Amino acid sequence: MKSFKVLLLVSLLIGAMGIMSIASSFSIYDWWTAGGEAQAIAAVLNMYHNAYPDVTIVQNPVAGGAGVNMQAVIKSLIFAGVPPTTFQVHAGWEMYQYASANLLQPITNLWKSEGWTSVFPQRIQQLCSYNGQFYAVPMDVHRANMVWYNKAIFDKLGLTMPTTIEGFINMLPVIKAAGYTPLALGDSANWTTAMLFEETLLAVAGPVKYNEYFEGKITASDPAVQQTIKYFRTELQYVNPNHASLTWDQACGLLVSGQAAMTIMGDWANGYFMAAGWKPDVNYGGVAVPGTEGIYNLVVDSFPIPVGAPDVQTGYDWLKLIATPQAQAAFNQIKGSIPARIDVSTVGFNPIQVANMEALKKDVLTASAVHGSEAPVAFVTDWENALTVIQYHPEMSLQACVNLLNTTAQQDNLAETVASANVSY
Amino acid sequence: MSKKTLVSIVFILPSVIIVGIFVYAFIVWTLAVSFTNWNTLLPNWSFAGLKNYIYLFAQDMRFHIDLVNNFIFLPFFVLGTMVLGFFLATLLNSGVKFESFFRTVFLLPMAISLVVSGVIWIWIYDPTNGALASLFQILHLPSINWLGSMTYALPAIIIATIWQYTGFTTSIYLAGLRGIPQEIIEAAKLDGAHGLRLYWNVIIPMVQSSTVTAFVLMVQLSLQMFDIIWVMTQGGPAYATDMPAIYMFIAGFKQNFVARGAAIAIVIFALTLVVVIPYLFTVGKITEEEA
Repeated sequence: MKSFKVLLLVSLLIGAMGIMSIASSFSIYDWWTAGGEAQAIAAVLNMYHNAYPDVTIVQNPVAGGAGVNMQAVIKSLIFAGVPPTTFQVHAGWEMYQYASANLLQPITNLWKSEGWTSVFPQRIQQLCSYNGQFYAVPMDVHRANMVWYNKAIFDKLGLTMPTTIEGFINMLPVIKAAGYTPLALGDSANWTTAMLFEETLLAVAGPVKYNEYFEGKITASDPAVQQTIKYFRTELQYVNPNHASLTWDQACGLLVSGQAAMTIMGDWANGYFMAAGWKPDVNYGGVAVPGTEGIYNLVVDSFPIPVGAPDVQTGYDWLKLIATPQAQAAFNQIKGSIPARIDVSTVGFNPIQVANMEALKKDVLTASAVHGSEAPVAFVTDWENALTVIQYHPEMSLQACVNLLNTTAQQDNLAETVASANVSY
Repeated sequence: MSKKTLVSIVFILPSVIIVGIFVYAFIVWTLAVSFTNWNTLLPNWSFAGLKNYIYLFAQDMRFHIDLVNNFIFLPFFVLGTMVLGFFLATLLNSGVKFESFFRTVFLLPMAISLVVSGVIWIWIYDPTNGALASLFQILHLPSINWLGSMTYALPAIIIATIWQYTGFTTSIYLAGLRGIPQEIIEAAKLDGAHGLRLYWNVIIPMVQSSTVTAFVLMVQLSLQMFDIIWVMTQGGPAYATDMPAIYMFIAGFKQNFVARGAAIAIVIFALTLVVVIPYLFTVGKITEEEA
């Protein structure tokens, strides 16, 4: 009897394995594990499941470090020869590192046959391609150069958001004098500090010089970058004292609790404020960082298909799905970002998202270095750390700050790396 | 070859092969990588000589800071865990009531995942809602932003890691103390050795091999310290708590400086050897003496 049971179990196991090998599976890696973003990806995966009910979805969310932990996992998997069907990657340099090593499958034919070249903005197409071939499909567009403000505090103090970065800097002491934290910052992970610098640079230098700086064509000795360093250090004097122990969303929480007036953060903050029960344009406002009106600093999450991906057809089906207006709307309405397509209806988006959707059509598009799109990953890592060194050493002279940033760019061969990669800006 | 030897070889062989491949072969492999130009995502096996090492020691500000941090961290961590561990082991060994309960309490931190205890310590150190902040408020002391300060971040990390690993040294010392024959202590007491003198002249020398073991393990742990720091500060603020092991991870897996990461690993390994090799000789000597 006992041996019969064992035999039954074994045959069941073998049978189950047989079924599993017939059904194709779709394995996806992403780092969307926090509040709204986890629901957003779940919504799209649900659409995928409804469209392809026979495909087994294996979702592997890897939390933490804005994707650092997940990238370590992905690199190990690719080198072990067992890549997933697809994985989340920031379009631009973060994606280029894989494409330039021939680790991604070119999907130019898919882009052409699906007509995507006419629905995604030119700059986003550049960020999804490398050396004339497309390698990734964008899922969303975030705007990095946003400032968010508590409307009640602004009304009480009779303030309006300035239109220039000088006006912005001059407003900081006014808010502080009224007893509020002018600028909320949560830099327990240092990319938020780097964003403060990046958006200030965009405002001071403008899009052309901004690109040139990250291409290594101009250095930190340039007057515009020097001015940015000065403003950056001024801004840091007006942040909440406990900034280092907060995350970006906890910093946004300081606006909600009425302690802080503003924060410079990407539009994922929009999702946070909505989740906190705040109403856009009633409780809070979100506009381009003063001085960057008319510029859209992109953060683009995209999906490529690695070379050697299993059940590759399921991956193509996924790319086709996420590029549809329906999927882009479903995902971005929950996440707070906007569709990368410019032909998606604005119905169901909040007013700040709608304004950004309009802006994406006409603005000058730049890409965020902090979020892996604008500059080589190795440089950005060291550059962010250099900015924290400047942050924590207020005694450093301006020249010392310039030298530190220049050394960082030299040691990481920024100019040569960008020039030899032959990518468009 | 006798049958007995053959059987022992058969039993030892699997672990020899596994250790050979996964420890020694990979050390050699890492060493080889550290002499290449593999500072890209894809392997590049072209020979670079000492380039990666020269960069680390001659030019790399981050690595210099990391070494300094590590050498500040090391003595505090090693002394802290050993002194506290010896103290706790002595208390546990003194015939205290509910000894097994206290033993579990002291050993428990060791059983907690470093990631979990990192998160707990972040909460303890939180300057607005943290446990320490509340305590400081009650005592009317100024609030300190422990993990966000260039001055306090490293001491804060040292305290957290000492808490985590003291259970380890406690158990090592407890085993050592249990191994001292009661007659020797009685004899020493008859000879008039009491209190500190008994410890200094009799007990501490008798647990010498525990001391050496604890010392080597703690030094090796502090040279490789990664997890809890990664969770608590990721090496920040501004490199204040950065360590070679953290830089190794970032260089190798984020920046694609694989050869540089390998060179850092080899430096850590070499520093560990400096401690481990004398240990192997000392332990041999102590065991002979004790025998």
